[in-house]
Amino acid sequence: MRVRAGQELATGLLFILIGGGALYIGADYPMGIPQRPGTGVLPRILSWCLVGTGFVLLLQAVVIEAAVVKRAAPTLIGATAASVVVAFGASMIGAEPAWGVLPAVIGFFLLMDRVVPGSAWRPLFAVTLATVAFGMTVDSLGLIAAMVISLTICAAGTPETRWPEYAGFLLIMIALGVGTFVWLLGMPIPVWPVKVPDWLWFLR
Amino acid sequence: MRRREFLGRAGAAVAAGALPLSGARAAAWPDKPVKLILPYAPGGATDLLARPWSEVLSKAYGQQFVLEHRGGAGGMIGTEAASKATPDGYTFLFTPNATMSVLPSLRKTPYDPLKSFDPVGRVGDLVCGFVMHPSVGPKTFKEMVEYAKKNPGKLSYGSAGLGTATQLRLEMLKFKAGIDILHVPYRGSADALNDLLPGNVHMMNEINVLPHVKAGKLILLNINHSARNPDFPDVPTLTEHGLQDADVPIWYSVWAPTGTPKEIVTTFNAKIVELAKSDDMQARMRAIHSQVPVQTPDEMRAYLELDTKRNAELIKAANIKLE
Amino acid sequence: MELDQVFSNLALGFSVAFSPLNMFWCFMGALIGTAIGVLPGVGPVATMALLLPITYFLTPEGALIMLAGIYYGAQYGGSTTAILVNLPGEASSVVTALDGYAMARQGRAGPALAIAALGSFFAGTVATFAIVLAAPPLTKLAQQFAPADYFSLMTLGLVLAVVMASGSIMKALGMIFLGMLLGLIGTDVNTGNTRFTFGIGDLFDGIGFVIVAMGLFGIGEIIKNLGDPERRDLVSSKISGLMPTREDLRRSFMPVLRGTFLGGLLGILPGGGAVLGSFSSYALEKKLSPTPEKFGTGMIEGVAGPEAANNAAAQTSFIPMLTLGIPSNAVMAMMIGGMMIHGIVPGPQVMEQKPDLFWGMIVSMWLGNAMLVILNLPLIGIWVKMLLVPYRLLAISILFFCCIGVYSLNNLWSEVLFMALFGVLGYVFIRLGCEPAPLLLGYLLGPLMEVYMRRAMLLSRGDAMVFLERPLSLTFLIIAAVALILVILPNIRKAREEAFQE
Repeated sequence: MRVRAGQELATGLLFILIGGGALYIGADYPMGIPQRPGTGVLPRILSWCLVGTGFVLLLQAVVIEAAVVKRAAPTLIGATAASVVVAFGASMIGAEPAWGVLPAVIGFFLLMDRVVPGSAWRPLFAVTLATVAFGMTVDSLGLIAAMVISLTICAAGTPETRWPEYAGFLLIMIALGVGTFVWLLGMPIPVWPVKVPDWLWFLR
Repeated sequence: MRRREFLGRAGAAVAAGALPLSGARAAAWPDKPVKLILPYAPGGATDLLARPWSEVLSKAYGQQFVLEHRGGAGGMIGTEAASKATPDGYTFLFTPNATMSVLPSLRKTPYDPLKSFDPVGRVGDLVCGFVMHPSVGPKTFKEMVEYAKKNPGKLSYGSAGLGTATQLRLEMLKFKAGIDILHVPYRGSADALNDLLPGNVHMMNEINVLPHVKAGKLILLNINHSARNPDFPDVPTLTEHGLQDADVPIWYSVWAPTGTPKEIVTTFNAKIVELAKSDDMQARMRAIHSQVPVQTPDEMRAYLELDTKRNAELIKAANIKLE
Repeated sequence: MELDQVFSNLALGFSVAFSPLNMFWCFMGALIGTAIGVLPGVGPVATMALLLPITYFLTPEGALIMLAGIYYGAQYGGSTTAILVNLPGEASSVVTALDGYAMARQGRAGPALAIAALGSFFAGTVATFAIVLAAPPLTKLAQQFAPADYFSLMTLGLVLAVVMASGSIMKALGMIFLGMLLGLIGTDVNTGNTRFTFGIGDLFDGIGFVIVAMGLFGIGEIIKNLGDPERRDLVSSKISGLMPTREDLRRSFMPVLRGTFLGGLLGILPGGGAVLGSFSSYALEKKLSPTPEKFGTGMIEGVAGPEAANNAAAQTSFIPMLTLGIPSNAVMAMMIGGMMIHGIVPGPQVMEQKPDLFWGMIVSMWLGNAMLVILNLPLIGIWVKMLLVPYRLLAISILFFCCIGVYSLNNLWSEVLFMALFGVLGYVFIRLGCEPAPLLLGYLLGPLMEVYMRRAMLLSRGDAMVFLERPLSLTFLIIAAVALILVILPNIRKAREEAFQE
């Protein structure tokens, strides 16, 4: 089994997915006239180029190792079917058919895991969640709370974390962060909680 | 201090949701740094004008007047942010008229100038005129008009962007003089100057060209304002060229989000007027080719209405669209 | 220009720059700049914006000298984080991260940092003298560029990025298209239409470069390293010598020379000048190297060339600002802001009316670079010690610095979320073997190219031939076409692929 074939296949699919999405979203951007090229000219050219590149990559993957298609096929078919069903279902109940993107994205990750084995799911979830948590809390709960929440989630992303050591390190980081950014650089970031976060509106 | 502030804020938040602190007295104002939101990127004309003001105001009040640049979408993003700021007298909008009297006539804006803001003070008018690159040929305003009549659409004019007052200045000229000049929008006037100096584009009308006029690299054809400019005493005004009401003023002003305590607005206006009259400020404004007309909030409101009406008429008559 | 006039100008400059007070401001600027620049995500623009108010209280010369010092300092600090933790805080250090970080992984962070400092100093010195001698003719050259020429130059830049990418050409090509497409997110400046914003207000202005770079490089790298214990232990296991060996110096000499020349030339151009400088230098070194396949695995040439190029470009980008009053990038816009505070209107008259300020500032650039070397060479030991921190803790601090760095740009929490999204994308790219550098170049140049393309079309009244009629533009396009054909020609490609196969 060759990793490279899997990589090219997944990259090709990713490019086609994004390029196709951009073509769909940008379908009604005006093209203008030669003297005044419109909003849609460059997006359309680039989207087509991206889709084209994606297909060449698919071809290369098959040339390198035809068997890669067999490994990818079940996930690919499953994800495609799922997104068609979701998109269709969503439009039936009057929601955005764009919801069909969701299964496509999940499908892409599963497919990538199949053709390029070795996904680091735990750090992927932990680090992403930690970043999101920081963004969602810093302006409402303040820098210290945001750091405690976000860095702890990040630390949970690896089995190597030694919690007592982490606790000490967190204190140092908080002192450093507050000292540098708030006191020294004077950035307008609240240190302590100032309000209930907007996304916890029901607690208001 | 910080702790007390937090407790105070937390207390208020519990008591009244996210309402502003009550009891902000004009006498004590300002007792903490004041934020001026500039709806454009740093380094442009707005920044240029706001810096001396923030310095002079900081000195006068003994509190920092901090400039916050929130550029984007032709000034819409920063203006919207200011309109939604807590009206506690510590956040103001510092803007050219483009966001207040031009944009709303061109597109849907997420704010309504006179409903979302209370006028605080006029802080400067930028005085300029049309400049021409010497390689084109015309050396005077009259020659330019003749040239444009003979060669419709051949001259090109660089503006600071779509829907800016600099574009309206061109549209007004085209409309009043009955000529055709190609409009080339740039991302800010510095960008336009970049193409004007080598002659890629032929004309502009923004203050950043004036040093180059002084250096003899560009020709100033006219002064847009009603009176001649003491720095360029030989250059006639638009009126002298026979074009009445052909100026599109670019004026800067400070606005408070509606709901800001009245006493604060009044004292702030008085301070701006007082400072604008000082020799120090007058000299600083002259250095950047600006004048400060003195106005009360009510006069400002009336002036904005007039300016909006005038721009809307021009936009309609000249059929200007963003797309 | 008369030679004795050159010397009298330099003498005037030295007398201003070497006054004790100005030397002090220069030193403070370099020091503060380095200190803040080392924080990932806080690049020169953010640093200067933060510190601009301090310069209110200085003399005009002192203020500008300090601001310039902050600029070099922050840029230098940015290279430090690019090498140590693979976080390019700024566009021009993206390529430094490629081989610099690979060197750090092999325990050779010290030599990489030292070469970056020495190469930058050399380039800075040469560029300073180049400014003195060549400011007027160089300005004339930059002035001849019309929109069509810029467009073609950027096309060439993108083609070079494809040529220099390691691994699959198709992937690099796709990454460039994707980067350009991402760069179009936001409001279309020419029409006011919004593109790919999904109605989200915080996207109307597009996504900041720092957000994309931090997500792709910083967050993506953390995810990968946390899930891959073997490779990351390499970072902290063995650290060999702090100073470069004779061999390192020998190998770096020519790349620094070429980088200085290339960077100095491209730096004068507004827009992507400095970025194109460091990317082109990397591409050039790779082309000239007898072992191009080793680039990306810790080749010192890949650090020396681009670092020299971006410093030379940083220096020469002052030329259009000082002589024409045109800001060629965001940093120069901040410098103009700094001049305005002191009532100096930048433009052609500055050189004549304020010769002490003009020449003093130019000489202070050289002084600032010298101070940076003195400041940073002893610090290399400390920076490298940072790598001894166990990765489980380093990861936490990098994550924090990325988050707060991005949040402090505009105080928008949504931008931290965008960074998280790019972090996931960055991890996907690592898994798929796609290099993010071409994507970032496309991201930077795409929107610029669109602007120049439209402007050229507008000025030519819709005639696309303008790109072929202008000699400069035609030259760039021909070079681009030849380079592209050379890499895509099947036999050459085959050879390349064999070379890249492990």
